[in-house]
Amino acid sequence: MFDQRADGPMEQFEILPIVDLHFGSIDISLTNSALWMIIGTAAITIFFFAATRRAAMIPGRIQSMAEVFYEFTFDLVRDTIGPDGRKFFPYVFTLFIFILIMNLFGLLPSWPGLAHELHTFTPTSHVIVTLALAMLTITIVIVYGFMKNGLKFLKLFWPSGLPLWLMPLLCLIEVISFLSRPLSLAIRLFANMFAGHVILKLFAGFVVSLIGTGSAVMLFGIAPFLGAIAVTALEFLVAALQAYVFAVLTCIYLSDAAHAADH
Amino acid sequence: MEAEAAKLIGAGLAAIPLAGAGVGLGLIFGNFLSGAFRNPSAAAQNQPTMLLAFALTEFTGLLGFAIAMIILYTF
Amino acid sequence: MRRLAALVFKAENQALTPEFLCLTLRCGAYMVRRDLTGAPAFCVRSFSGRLMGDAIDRDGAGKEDPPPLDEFSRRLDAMRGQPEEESPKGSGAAWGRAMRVSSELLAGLFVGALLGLGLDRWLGTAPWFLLAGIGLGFAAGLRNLSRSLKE
Repeated sequence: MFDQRADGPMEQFEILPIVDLHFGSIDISLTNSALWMIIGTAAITIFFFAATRRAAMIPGRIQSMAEVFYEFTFDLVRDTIGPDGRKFFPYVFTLFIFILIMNLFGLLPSWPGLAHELHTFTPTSHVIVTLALAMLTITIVIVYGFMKNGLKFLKLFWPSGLPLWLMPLLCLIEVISFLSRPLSLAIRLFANMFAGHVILKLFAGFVVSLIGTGSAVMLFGIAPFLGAIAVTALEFLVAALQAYVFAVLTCIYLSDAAHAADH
Repeated sequence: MEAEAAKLIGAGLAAIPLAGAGVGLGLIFGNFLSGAFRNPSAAAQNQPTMLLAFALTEFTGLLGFAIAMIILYTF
Repeated sequence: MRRLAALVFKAENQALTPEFLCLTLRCGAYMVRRDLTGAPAFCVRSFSGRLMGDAIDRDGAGKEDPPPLDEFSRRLDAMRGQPEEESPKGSGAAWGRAMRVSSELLAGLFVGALLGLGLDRWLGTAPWFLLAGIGLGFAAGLRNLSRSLKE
């Protein structure tokens, strides 16, 4: 009755090559993950071009939507990093919009009957993508911290006002705590997107297999169907919230780097 | 018993902590809410404590999840 | 009855105009912002006629000479009694924070255990660095946690 292609909850995370490309021994095929990143980036670019093309004193519809995003991020950066955080605004804004659009586009329904390679895909549900973003943030933090504070940046690992015999231990703990930052950033985003999509797929799978029975058992399919609707609504919230949390933590870490010598 | 079956059973057992974490989270938020409704003015300053308890409880569940994943994918 | 239906139809039509959608979206974004950051719901300052392209250029590139609008908003802030140099503070509120804290502990433990495992493999001292790493990692996780709760 229903076409049950890719019917397990895990098939949606499979990375499949669409165009095979090999550069020497390196595989640079265009995969579905890359395709959805390109689609997301293109959508962001078109949106902001359309918003800023005719910038007016009294904003139109698209422009005021863009302004909402812009001012939200701008206030975030200014409140967290302080006045000298302006130079990080482009980075934080890009990161926020990119993650937000990746998360939200992953919730689009796939076109029915399309090949598995072209199904909707969430790049942020792969730990390698989120870890790369988190590593980028931490690299910027370290480089900027050393550029701004010199060796005083290392005071971040040297808590003050404690007995001397505790210092080496605490220093070690601080180093581990610093190293755990990118991991915690990456795992949080990845785990939320991954778990959300698995739950969505499970509920949807229940509906399909209950309807597939074709008897009165079909009526029980209503419960998982309502569940799937509720989870979809929750997923929209989680998608926006995770992008926000990623941006906030990026700002906090940058703020640590900017003010490392002060405390 | 086959090793594959034992692995799956072990992963399932390692997911039991999630039930405990669920009960614990319910207790934490329920008690916080009942306290906050009795004395709303004191609710804001107790929020960090609640979040600490939330994190420690959630940690149990996440640890169970991590152990289940380790059993499934590393052995 | 038909009049009622016509009225409902009209109301629906009105509700679905793009202006209304846009307004709803904006109100929603403001409400989210208020809930997340604790800022007052409708800041008048936000939309006091900032040019979009101008704003991007100004704030993004970080030019040397501030345009007059900047000066104006600073004076406005001063008149309203807000401090000009806002002290850096964390602005994550309840929801964002709750989502943040739960994975901090796990990440600390994970990194500690991973470091211990790596040192063990390298030096060949079977379980000792792993055990120490787990202990230190848990401590680091608690440190992460207390730091993110303090903000």
